[in-house]
Amino acid sequence: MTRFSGTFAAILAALTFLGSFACPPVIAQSSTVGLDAFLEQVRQRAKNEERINQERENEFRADLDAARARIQEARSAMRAEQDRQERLLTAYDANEATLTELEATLREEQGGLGEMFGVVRQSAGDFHAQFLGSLAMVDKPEALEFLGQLSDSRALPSMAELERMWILVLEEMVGSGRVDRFVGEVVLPDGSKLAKDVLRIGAFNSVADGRYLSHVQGRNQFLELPRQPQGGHLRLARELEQASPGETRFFALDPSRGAILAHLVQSPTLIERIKQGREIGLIILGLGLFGLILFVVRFAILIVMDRRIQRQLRSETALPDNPLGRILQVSGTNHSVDPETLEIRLDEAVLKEIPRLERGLRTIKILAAVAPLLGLLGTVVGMIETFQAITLFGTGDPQLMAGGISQALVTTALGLSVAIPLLFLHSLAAAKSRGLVNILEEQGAGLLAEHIQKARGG
Amino acid sequence: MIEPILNLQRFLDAGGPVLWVILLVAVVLWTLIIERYWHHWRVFPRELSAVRARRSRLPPQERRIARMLLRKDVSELRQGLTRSLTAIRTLIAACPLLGLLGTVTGMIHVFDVIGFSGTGNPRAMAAGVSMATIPTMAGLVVALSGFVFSIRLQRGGEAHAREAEDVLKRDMLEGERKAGVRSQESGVRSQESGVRSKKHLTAVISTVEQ
Repeated sequence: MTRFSGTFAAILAALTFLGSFACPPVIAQSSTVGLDAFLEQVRQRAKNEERINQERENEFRADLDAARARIQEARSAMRAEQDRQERLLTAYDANEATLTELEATLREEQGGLGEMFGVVRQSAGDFHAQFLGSLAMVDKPEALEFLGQLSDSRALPSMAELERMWILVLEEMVGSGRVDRFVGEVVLPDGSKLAKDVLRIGAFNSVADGRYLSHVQGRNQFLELPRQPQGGHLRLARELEQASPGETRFFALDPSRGAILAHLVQSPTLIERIKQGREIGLIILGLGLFGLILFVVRFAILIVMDRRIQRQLRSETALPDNPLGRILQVSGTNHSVDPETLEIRLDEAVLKEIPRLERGLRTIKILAAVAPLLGLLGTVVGMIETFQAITLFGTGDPQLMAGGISQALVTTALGLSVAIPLLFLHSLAAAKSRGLVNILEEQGAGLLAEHIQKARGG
Repeated sequence: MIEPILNLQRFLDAGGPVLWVILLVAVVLWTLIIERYWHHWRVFPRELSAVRARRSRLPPQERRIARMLLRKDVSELRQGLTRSLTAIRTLIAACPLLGLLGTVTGMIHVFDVIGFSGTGNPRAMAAGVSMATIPTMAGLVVALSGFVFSIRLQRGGEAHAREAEDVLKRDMLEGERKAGVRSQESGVRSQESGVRSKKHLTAVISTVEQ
């Protein structure tokens, strides 16, 4: 198929070639006049173009001349500017020299004054920082503002400002040595704000309504300490508030300007301390309470017994409401038996009465002995916890160890403070019961003898 | 004159509140001890002679009843001699415990300070440390000083009581001899020695218990 189309194209090309040889003589013969016109036309056109070129050339030449003229112009302008620059440079240099000269003169004439203004700014800044926390400046906010501005300003302070600062410092000095009363905003522990009569003692402490306050820096505002010092100190504060001018009063002053009072807020109360003892602390306290109740009950019973025995000692007849009376009754019922048998019966009666007098005392003694042991247990438990914290977190953070250590210490303290009073109470009750037992044991016989004698005599 | 008082004041302030309790205990303890010595040296001889005078006025009695009355009198004297010894012993036992309590409260104080200012401030901790050590020392000193005297007082009291018993018994025998009851003297002696040994035994038992 392709071979066929290739052959077809070759034949077509050959035919066209033959045709081109056959045509030209026919065309030349028919247009001789058209060629002349064409020539004329070409000539005309060439002439036109020449003219246009000439015009263009002229134009270019004129342009070139204009540009040259402009260059000339610019050059002369540049030259003029350069001249001017030179002139200005000279003037600038001259001015610079004058300036340096003048500055030197200024410095010379200012002398130590510049240094002084620096000192004033620095001092104003220092005093501002210091007076922010000063109780003597609490009711003078404009003075604080003035000092702040003075320390920040770049301008030289005026004479009046310098004098005002000086007087302010003196005022603070005098004010910090006085006991003053003024109105301030007091924030109570529950968050409510009240305007109260605040009494300040120098620059150290402030009180309102007999309660200590802490000062909020830079404002006429106070916080009432949520935890106050001991009652005696509060009483002194109240008395100071009621004192008339010129009177001398005692007052518990915090010389650290509130730092000690701030620590007071952090130190735990008794109840918080007890809570640090955790379960073991509560067990110890429970045992202590139990021992106390036991003591009260037993001691009351012993006192009643004592009363009755004393009454029995005075009375003639044997009363059945007390141990001695019951022993004497034994002798009454065994009136006719021989002395040995009577003595044995008597001993038996005494032995029966003794446990009633000594009941509960041993328990109190055991509680007094157990309480320190429980304290020791609490110590060990707390230390175990501490060492576990050390194993996990290392010794870097004392806060993590604090819980265990406070448990260890508080339980020991609780154990001892329960044991010592119980020891005394046991001693008291034991002395009482021993006295009664002695009366029964040793004097019982003698009393019986007196009884018998009286009976025989009467 | 002022200087020692100031020193004492400083000592008490450094020791904290527990030291005051120890001071109170020491004062009570020494008051009791001095009272005991006063009783041994002054009161007891007077009481003994009063009892002897009373007994000498008694009419002659049956021996059993006389012995019972003797026992009663001796018991009263003995009670007078050993009255506050239990309290003294309790106070002595409480002193080291109070010292220990002081140690613990002092250590709590030290740990409070550590909580506030860290371990870098030994000066601040010093107050707590002295609160911890001074009561311990004071408690031990008070206890040891009282301990010797309490033992001496107890022994002295026993000795006085036995002496009183002997004296009264001799008086009784004397009275009986005067009354002309000689025949059963030996029997009485043997019974009495039995009674004495029994009493001695109970006294020993009571000391062991305490």
